[in-house]
Amino acid sequence: MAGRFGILIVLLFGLSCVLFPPPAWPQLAIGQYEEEAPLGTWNIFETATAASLGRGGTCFSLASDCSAALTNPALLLLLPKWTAMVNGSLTYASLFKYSLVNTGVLGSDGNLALTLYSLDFSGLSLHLGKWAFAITIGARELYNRPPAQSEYSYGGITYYSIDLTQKGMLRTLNLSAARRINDWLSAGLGINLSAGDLKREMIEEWPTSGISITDRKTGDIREFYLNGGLLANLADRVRIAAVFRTPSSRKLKNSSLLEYSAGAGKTEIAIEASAEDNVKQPLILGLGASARILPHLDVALDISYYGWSHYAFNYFGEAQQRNFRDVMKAATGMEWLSSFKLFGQRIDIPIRLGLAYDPQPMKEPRSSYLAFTFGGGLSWQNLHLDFGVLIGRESGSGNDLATRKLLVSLAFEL
Amino acid sequence: MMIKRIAALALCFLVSSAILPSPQSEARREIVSVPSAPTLEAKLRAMNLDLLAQWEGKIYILAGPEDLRALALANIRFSLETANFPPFIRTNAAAAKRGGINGAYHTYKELEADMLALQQKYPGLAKVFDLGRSLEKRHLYALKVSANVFFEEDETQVLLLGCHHAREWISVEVPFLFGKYLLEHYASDPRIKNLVDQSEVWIIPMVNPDGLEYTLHVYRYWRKNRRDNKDGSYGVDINRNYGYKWGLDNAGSSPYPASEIYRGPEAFSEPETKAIRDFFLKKNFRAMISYHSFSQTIMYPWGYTTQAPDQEVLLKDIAARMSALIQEVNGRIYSYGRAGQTLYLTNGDTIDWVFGTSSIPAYTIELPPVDEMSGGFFNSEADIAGIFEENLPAMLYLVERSTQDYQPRGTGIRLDKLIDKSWLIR
Repeated sequence: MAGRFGILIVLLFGLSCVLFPPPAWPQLAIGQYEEEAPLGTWNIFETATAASLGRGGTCFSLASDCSAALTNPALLLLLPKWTAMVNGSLTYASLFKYSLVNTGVLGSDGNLALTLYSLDFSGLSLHLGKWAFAITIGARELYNRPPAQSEYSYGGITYYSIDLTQKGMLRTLNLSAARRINDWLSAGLGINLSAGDLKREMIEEWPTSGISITDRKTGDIREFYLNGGLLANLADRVRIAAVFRTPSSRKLKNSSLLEYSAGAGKTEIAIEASAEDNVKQPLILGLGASARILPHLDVALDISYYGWSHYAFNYFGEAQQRNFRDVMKAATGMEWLSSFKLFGQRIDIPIRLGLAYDPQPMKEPRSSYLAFTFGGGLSWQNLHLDFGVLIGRESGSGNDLATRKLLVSLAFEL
Repeated sequence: MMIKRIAALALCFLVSSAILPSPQSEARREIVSVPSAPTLEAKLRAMNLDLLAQWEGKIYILAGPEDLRALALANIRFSLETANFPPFIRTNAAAAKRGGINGAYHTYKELEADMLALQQKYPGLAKVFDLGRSLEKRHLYALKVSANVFFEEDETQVLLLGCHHAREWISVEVPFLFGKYLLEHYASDPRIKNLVDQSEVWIIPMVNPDGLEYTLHVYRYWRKNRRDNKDGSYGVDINRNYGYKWGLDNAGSSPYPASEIYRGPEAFSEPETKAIRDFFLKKNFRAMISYHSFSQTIMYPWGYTTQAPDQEVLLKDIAARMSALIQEVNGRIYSYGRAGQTLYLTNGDTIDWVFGTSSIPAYTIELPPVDEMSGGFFNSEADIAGIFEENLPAMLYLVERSTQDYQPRGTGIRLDKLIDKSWLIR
């Protein structure tokens, strides 16, 4: 009887799929790299620094530097009185479908890759008794895409060319404060102001007839949100943490200029538009735990939830179809601290390893990155030099995308 | 030489200043020129025209539609000069900031909203129907304009289509503006009232909404729909996917998916063409125009061959009349002829299928500009109204002509079949 009931349910479900078709969804499932997508992954809590990246990105319950303010400000209470740091990154990502590449206009045999360098984080923290404060600035999201060009020339004459570029970045200024509530519990809160831009330009030309089409789209981005966290010391060796980032409405000032020029400027047609749009960014929640399982070995686990089903992208006044789902990202890592003496000076060498599972929010195609990370460093007196490496491989889209990251940070503490 | 340059600059400045759109004036004004002659100048002044300047043997006039009509009636030959004054276009481009991503042109959602607004504003005269869904599940909307719009009356039916090809933005605007014009003038213009009372005008301004959206967000010159051909290419040319002589040869369409004129794997393989076919076969249309751009051409069947159709005399006569009516508005010339002879061979296109299956007058009208040097698939936003206005008399003529010799079928009045099918947008 139960079996028949089950079959009936399946049949009804099948019938409902036929009778109530899904909402509009493109033949072209562009996948990860929608126009506004950050490079590498959608799931960016905040700018990572070298130490946390080496541990798989775990940063909710272990603090290495003042970048803790961006994820769990309560961790600032674990830092020395003064810290200051800068972080540089080398980011590599491969893409297949984006904009007019592999969507019907320009085709490529394989993935296209982009490598970017940026000085992407700097910060200061101050720890005074039960209080700690930090001010940081970091490049949270990059919007660059591999430039795409195509040209048809014959006999030394170019008859046609098309050129696509897209660049952009979002920076976040964070001001955080943390307070020790009692012996085992601390809390922290940060306010975040983000600003950035995204520029895309497509130029198509037929030089022999003097015709050109230029399509420029630019957007200025502004955002405000809060982040915060709690840190509990359950025992001398075990800590747990809970963190959040509030949902926010990212404000965009978009403008578009489409130009057609022919006959050496005799025909000039320009179609301009501008709009004030918004992007509904999701709530992020996280839980983290860390434990010192050996005198010099810490392990950590972070689980974070991204509420992408509430993501909404309005562009020139119209809601764009994104069809996202909520995702859970998981990261785990370890840090082994060894020391030796050189000319009588103690030098610490942290060694870090980690793994991260990073599912992307698109319902179709389902896609996720699995990343292996490692890192290390040198600490001498008040100076810390760290590096972290992430090597990630995507599965699900069929395009075998890759992401890699090398971070180097230099920190000073008192 | 220097004096000439200064004079040219001064003239450009004078003209561009004079034609800045004033808030009161919505009618499109053109700059035209006539050969300079003392007698003619006196005649022009007597006509109370806005004379801008005399320069290098020409008199420049700023003329609205009424002025152009007066010039034509007075048998004064004039030349359109508007395009020679770039500041005019740039000035008007700024006005586009009121619009969405494509300025004064319609996006899919803007069109949906505007069509539903017409239905709401003119409840007895306008009804929006959903004929089906595109590949990406966008609605294919039809606007019906007729007195007693909920009913299928025993009266002539005319079909106007736009945007088979995504990049031809102007082809959305002209049929949509025609529907709007009929509704806005029904109460005040006896000619329009008579026409709407005696006919059903069906307008499907956006046959290819998926392609159009791709032109807005990704690539302006996209033509086809957004079919994933599973070989790395995208799109079927909807105007090669109709069932009459589909795939007859590889000159009028292409079997290769990457081609701009890919005809699809079989006739009516695309939901957009299926929707038009199913809708057309439920009705009893007596004339049809499918709007495209560019080249200023009125084409009738056949497209698949250079041979003449059976009723060529009739088809040619109507095309010639429409061309003349357009020319009377502002002097712009639309050539006309058999599709297969006038531009190039096409098989599986709309007019061949319509004419081949129902033998009614069926036209492809390629809207301005005339060539790539004048804009290709681009028209400035300021040109939209003018292009509609020049086509208006031809559209009215075709509908009126369809009403004039209509023989009632004796079907009486009944609730529109489409409403019975629950395709009504509430």
